[in-house]
Amino acid sequence: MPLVRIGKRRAVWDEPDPDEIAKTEFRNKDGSLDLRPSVYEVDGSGTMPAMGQVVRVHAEHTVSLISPPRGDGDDVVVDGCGNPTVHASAGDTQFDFANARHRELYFETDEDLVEFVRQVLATLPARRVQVSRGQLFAYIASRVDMNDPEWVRALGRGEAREAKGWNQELAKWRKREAEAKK
Amino acid sequence: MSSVVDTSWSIALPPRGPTTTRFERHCEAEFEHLAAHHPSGLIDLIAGGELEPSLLTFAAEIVGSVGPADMPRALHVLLPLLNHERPHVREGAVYGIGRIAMLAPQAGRFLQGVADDVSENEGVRSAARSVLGRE
Repeated sequence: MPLVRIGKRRAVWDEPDPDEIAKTEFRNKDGSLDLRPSVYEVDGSGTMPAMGQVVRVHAEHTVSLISPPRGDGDDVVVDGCGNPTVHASAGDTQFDFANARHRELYFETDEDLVEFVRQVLATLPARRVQVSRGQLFAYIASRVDMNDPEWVRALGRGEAREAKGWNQELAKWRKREAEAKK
Repeated sequence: MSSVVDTSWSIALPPRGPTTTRFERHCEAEFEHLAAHHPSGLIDLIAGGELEPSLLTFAAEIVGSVGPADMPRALHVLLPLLNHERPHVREGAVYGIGRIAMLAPQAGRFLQGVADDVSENEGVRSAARSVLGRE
């Protein structure tokens, strides 16, 4: 099943240099390259992930872990690139689905990681999956409106890292949606 | 901030910006530490022009989280980065200015041009539109 990497910088994938991409997208906070980067396994085949699940893990990941709120993103399907081993790993989000779908890619060396990036880059157009602001907030709004317990806990009770900011962004999105429908 | 000299800041790397001995190299953890405890150090580090693009993009984002007193200087170093040659650095600057705009909404006006510039990298434009709450 497709493995989807939720990116940090959309623009860096337009860089031609795999080394620069690796240093930007796959670096730990201490400055070392991340040889166990996180991905999410979603339904689908090859480089064609089930879009609904991509939006779901993107929303659950970003609301749990990204500060401050960020409204859209470019995800990348990374299957079949390089030679990492894939390990199930407890995710760090506030949502069971994303945590259950969380995986880590294990690389032996920095060079292995850069080679992986090189191979992703070689077939990038087929691997990019954009989650728009509209898709993201439509999904979040639907979960909140359905009183999904996890979303009520994360945003309604304010347990998400940036619940206030996400609630403000959600309110802005709802207002714009309502105005657009007038 | 306390006026007492903080002796943990025993090494100055690079020369224009202090860092701490706890960080072996420039990194996100250092930037977050500086933003919280020594914001002028982070601002000087960015202004010094010595960070490589893959780090500068995150320094630019994180400097947006400095307190109100340091925001004008943070904005002063961020605005030129909107014209940096590397798109991921410009994207980081957009996020940094976006952070400032959460407390000082007028800062968002600096991103209008980025969001509307059809010649800009799509990732950078998308980031600006997102920060401005546009589709």
